[in-house]
Amino acid sequence: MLNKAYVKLFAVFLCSFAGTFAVRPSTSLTQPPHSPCNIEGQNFDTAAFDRVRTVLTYTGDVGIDNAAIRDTLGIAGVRIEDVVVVTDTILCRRALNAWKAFFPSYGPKEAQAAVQTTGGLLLRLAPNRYALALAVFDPWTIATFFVTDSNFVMVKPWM
Amino acid sequence: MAEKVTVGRLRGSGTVLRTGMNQPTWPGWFNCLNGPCVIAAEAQQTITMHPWMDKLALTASPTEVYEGDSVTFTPSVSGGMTLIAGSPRWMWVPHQRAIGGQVQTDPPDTQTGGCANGIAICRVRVYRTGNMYLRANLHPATIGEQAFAKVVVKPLKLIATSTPRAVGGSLDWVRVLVRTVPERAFSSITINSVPGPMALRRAHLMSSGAVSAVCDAAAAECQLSGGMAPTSLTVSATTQQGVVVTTTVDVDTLACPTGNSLLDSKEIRTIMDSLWKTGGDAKPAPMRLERTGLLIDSAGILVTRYLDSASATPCSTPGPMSNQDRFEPPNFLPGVMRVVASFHTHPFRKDSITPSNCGALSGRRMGVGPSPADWHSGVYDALDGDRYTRSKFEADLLSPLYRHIVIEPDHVWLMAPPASWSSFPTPSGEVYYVPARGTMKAALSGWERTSPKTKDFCLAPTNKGTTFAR
Repeated sequence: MLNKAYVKLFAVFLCSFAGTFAVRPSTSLTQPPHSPCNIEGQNFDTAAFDRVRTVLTYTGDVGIDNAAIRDTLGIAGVRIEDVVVVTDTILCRRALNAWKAFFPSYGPKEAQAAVQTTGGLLLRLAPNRYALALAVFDPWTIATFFVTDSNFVMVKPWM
Repeated sequence: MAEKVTVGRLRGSGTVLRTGMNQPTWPGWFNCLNGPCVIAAEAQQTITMHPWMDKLALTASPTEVYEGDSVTFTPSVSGGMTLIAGSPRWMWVPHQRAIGGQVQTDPPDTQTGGCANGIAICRVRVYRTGNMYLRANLHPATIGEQAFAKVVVKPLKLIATSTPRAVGGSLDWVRVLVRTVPERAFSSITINSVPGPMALRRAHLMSSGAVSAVCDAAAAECQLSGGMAPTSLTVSATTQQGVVVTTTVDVDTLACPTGNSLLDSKEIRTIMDSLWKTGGDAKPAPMRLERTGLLIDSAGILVTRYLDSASATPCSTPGPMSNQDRFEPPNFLPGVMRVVASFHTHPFRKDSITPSNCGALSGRRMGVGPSPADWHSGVYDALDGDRYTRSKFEADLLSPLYRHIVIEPDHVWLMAPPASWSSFPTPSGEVYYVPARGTMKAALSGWERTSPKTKDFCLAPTNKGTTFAR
């Protein structure tokens, strides 16, 4: 759900996708600390935006087949301009809880990370696709992603 | 029954104690009328004396040094006495060394002006194990005293490394890096070459001149030109303290040389080939493992270490530079050993889907090139370890040309330190480092692996990017 109060802020982020502005730290989202919509780790918001941009737009000559990833995640055809930051704490909480229910299945270290994480950056990629970016270091993408449908049922635990 | 006899100087004063004197029989007075009156008596006489404790002592600091290092000799006086100014006489006596049955007396074993006669505290460079003797007069002693202190001098070791270690034929652009263990600055370096028969033939065929070397003592390296490999180079260097050290280094030949100073050595190609094979590129995906290893310059000899893969998966492995214990004695000898390169394998081709035993990395599509975590564990951790080793052991952990190397089915990636890093602190307190935006490209060089994919593999540089580029 899009909160009107943050329309101006979204414009800044959308411009940042295009590389016009430097992406600010997540604290600039004006989310209070420990908000479910606040990604807590430093610089993880920038890393998350980089990753989303790469998956949606990158067609490097030896790059990973991002078209196949887009197909797998059900976001083929999504443009970077369509991505919005969700600030509705209820939606963020639901996404976060879905991830917290899943992530510990990887092991004790992941279970501990799930306990310590109190929020994430929720991006609406498409009406039926959300990506929650979390400040849990992923070896490949820096931020950990959790892709769900609009009911916050997991589609893939990565992006 | 054994009896200990100590022979030494005795000095002192005391009384003579005479005991057990027989009382003479009292003579009659008339026995003394006509001359001296002698009364004989028998007795035992005991003289008690105490050994003279040395009042002059000499201390060397330090007592164990390397060739050319300075040692300070300090006298001390006890027993309420004082050193008479101007009286010290110093003499450094190196232990004689017998080589081939003949005693060698090699300069510079002479003491310098720092230990001139009359000086109270002497500081001198020493080049061989020996004793410093001091003779001085004490007040109010009546005779001169002598003391000595021993200093053990350990030899410097010269290490020369050619970079690259192997070439296609010509020695042009081969550099020779020179260092001592422990590290000392040089005042001069010279190189002489003894080419192998094959090199002589090649040099004749190609009208190549003799090897010449331009050496920069301050930079501790020489640049070769002319001549052909294989060849044996004799490197002689003089430290700024005047110690002359010599060693030899071979420049070998190699099929498919790349011109890259790290990739062009037989040792590095062997470890890359072995790691690749043990990682199981040919096995079913869930049975493959990322493997890690180290290439270590151990006093000029390249040695390989294959690291434990117990906690590795097909998609991840503990970083080869992450465990600091690995680089401390007795596992590692700081100052003598340096890490030339660390390695890990990616046993999947681009666009392969990772198997289900990869944990959080399961079901993902493989890219090529180093991941963000590879930069953290392969490069940042290495630099961090280098800082630690320097502070704890005053020695470098990493060779100047250190690289982390990722070995993939079709590529080899060499990772150097980027110009700057971005940090990613997590809520749990961990901090991860990856190259800052725009700095990765300059720090990464990619090579395509071409046939044959054995230890004699060939590599071609590629400008293609890595999937994980930021």
